[in-house]
Amino acid sequence: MRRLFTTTLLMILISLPIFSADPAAKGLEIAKKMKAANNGFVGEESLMEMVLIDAYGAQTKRVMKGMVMEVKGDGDKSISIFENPQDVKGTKMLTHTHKDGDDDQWLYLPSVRRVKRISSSNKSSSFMGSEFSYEDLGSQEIEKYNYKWIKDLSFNKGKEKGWLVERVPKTKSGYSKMVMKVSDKYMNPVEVEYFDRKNELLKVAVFSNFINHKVNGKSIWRAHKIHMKNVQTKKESVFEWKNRELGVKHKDRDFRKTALK
Amino acid sequence: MKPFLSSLLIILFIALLISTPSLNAMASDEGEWRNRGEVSLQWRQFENDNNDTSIDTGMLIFTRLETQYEDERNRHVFRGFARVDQKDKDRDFMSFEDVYFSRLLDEEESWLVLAGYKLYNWTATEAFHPADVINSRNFDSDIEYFEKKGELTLELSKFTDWGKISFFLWPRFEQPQFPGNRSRLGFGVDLDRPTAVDGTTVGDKWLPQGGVRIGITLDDGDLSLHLINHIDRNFPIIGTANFSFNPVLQRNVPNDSIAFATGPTPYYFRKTQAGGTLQYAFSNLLVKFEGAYRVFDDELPILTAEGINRPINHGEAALGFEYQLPFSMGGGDTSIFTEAGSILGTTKEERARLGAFQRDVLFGLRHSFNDIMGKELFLTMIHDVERANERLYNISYSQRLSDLWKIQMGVRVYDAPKKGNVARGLEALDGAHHVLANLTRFF
Repeated sequence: MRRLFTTTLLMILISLPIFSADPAAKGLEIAKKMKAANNGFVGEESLMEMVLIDAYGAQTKRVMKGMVMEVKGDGDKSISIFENPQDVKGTKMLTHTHKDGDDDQWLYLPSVRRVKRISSSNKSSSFMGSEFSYEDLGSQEIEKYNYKWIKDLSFNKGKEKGWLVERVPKTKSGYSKMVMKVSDKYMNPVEVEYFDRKNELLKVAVFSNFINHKVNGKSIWRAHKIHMKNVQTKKESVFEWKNRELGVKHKDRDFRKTALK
Repeated sequence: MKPFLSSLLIILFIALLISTPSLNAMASDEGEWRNRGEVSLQWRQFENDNNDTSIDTGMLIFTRLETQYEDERNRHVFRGFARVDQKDKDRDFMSFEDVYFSRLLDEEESWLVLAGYKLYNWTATEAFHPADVINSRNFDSDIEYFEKKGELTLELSKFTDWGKISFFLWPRFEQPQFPGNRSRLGFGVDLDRPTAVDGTTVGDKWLPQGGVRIGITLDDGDLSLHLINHIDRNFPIIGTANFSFNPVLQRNVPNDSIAFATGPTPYYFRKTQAGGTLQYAFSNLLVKFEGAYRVFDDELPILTAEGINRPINHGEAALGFEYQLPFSMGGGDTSIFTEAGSILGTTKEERARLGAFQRDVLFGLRHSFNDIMGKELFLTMIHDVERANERLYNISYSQRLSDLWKIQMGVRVYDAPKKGNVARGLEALDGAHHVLANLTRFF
C-alpha cells in the first residue's frame, strides 16, 4: 500500500508541467527565464539603423551608435549617439534605467554644448519620429510588469516551441498590455502585439535575424531586426543592428553625465 | 572686419567643409575622427523704423565647422564659425568656439587636463542665466541666447563617483562683440573696444582669472556649485574712465568729449561670483534653478551719460519649471515651461541699469510633432513684472526638408516703449520687431 502511494505520488509529480499551473505565476516564471537567458551580456556596442516608412511607402533612414552596460542589481545604462539626420548629428542620450521608479535620462545638445536632464516618465513618445516609442527600445525590467501565461505555442511546423504571454505595465505606460510570442529557443519574443490605452491593437513588432552571441561561455540570442507596423496609421519602422557586439567591457565613467560633453 | 578678409574666411570655411572627406566619422587604429558642419543662408527683415541710417534687412551666410579626434585618452576639438552679412558689415564675425586638446592623465582615468579655447554652458534654465557667465557674448544675437566666444582655458578636472570637480585658469579677457551703430539691435552708436578693468588698471587683455566648479549627480537631480574670480562679461558700464572735474561747470566732463559722444567704451570689471544650478526631475515635471552672487572691484569710477557710475554688487536668481504634457497631441510631445528671474539686493533703479531681464517672467511652449521631418513649434513670451510695458515675444517653427537640409522661420516682437530720457534694458530694442528665415545645409 505504501509503495503504491509513493509510486502514485511520484507519477503525479513527474506529470506536472515545468511551470506552475497559475497563469500569472507561470507568466512570471517565463519572464524570469527570459531574463536569466539574456543576462550576462556584460556590455554591448552596435551601429543601429532605423528605416521609417510612411503610409505611402516613402522611406527615410536614421542612424545611431549605441552602447549598453549591464548593471547588476539595477537596470542597464545606455548611450545613443545620433549620426543621421545631420541636424541632430552628435546628439547623445544617456539613460540609467532602474528596476523601481523613473529612469534617469540626459540629453547632450552639441550645438549649445549643453547637457540637459530630461523627464523620462513619458515613455510613450515616438523615438525619432518612428513607430517605436522610448518604452519599446528601453530596458525591459521584469519588475515593471505583471505577466500572465496564455497558452503554449509551436512555431515552424512544430519544430520550435514557445509561449504566448501577456504583459501588463505596472507603472505609467503608453500601452494597456502587450501580448508576446516567446520562443523557447531564443528565450526572446519573436512577435509582440501592443495594445493602446483603449485596449485596441496599436502596433505589431516582428523580431528576426536572431544571432547567437557567446559571452564568457554563455550563449545569448539577440534579434538583429525588429519590424514594427502601426496597424492604426499604417506606418512602419524597421530597426536593425549592424556590427553588434556583446561582451564589450565598458567603463562606468563612460556612462556618467560628465562623459556626455 | 574688412570685406575681403570676411569673404576669405567664409571661403576657407567652405573649403574646409568640402575637403574633409565626406565629413563622416573616420576610424583608425588609434582613435576616431568625427566631423560636422553647416552652411546657412539667414535672412531677417525688421519693421521699417523710418530711419535711413539703420539697416532693416539682414542677409548673411553663416558657416560652422566642427572636427574632433578622440582616442582612449586624448581628445582634440576644433569648432568655429564665421558670418558675412551682405547688408551690415558690422555683423561680419568669426569666432573660435572650441579649439582645445584634453588628456586623461592617470591609469584610472579620473584626472583630466584640458588646454585651449573652450565654450562653456553652465546653464540649467532656458532664458535667464545667472550661472552661465564664463564666455564673452556676441550681443548682435538673440538676447535670451546670445552667441558665445570661446575662452582661453587651462582646466584640471577630477572625476568621481558622485560627479566632477574642475579647476580653471583663464589667462585672457576675450572681448565681447557689439552691434554696429546702424544695427537695429544696437545702441545707435559705434562702441569703442570693450575694455577690462582690473583694480585701477585699464585695458590689459592678459589678466589672471580662475575658478572652481563642482558638479554632483543626485538620484533625480543634478547640482552644480561654482566660485570664480574673473573679468565680468555681462554687466558693462558704458562711458569713459578718462574724465576730470571741470570747476567752471562744477561737474565731471570727459577729456575727449567727441569720443565720449560718438564711441563710448564698455568697461568690464573684475568680480568674484559664487553660484550654482540645480535640475530636479519629479515625474513629468523638471524643476530648474540658477543663482549667483557677484561682488565687483569698484575702485575705478566711470563717467556715463548719467554721471559717475560704478559696478553694483548684487545677487541674481532664476527658477524654472518645465512640464511635459502626459498625453500626446497628434502623436507629438508638448512641453510647457515657465521661468522667473530677478536681480536681488539692489534698488529698482539699479536693477534697471543692470540688465534687460532684471525682474521678468517667461512663459513658453514647445511642441515637437515627432514626425519624420522633425517639425517643431516654439513659442515664448518674456514679461517684465517690475517695469511697465516691457515684453518680448518669440515664435519660431523649424523642420527638416531632407536629411541634409533644414529650414527655420520666426517672428520676434520687442514691445518696450522708452519711459525716461535714457533707454533702459529692453527699451533699447523697442520696435526692433523682425521676421527671420534660415535655410541650413548640414554636412
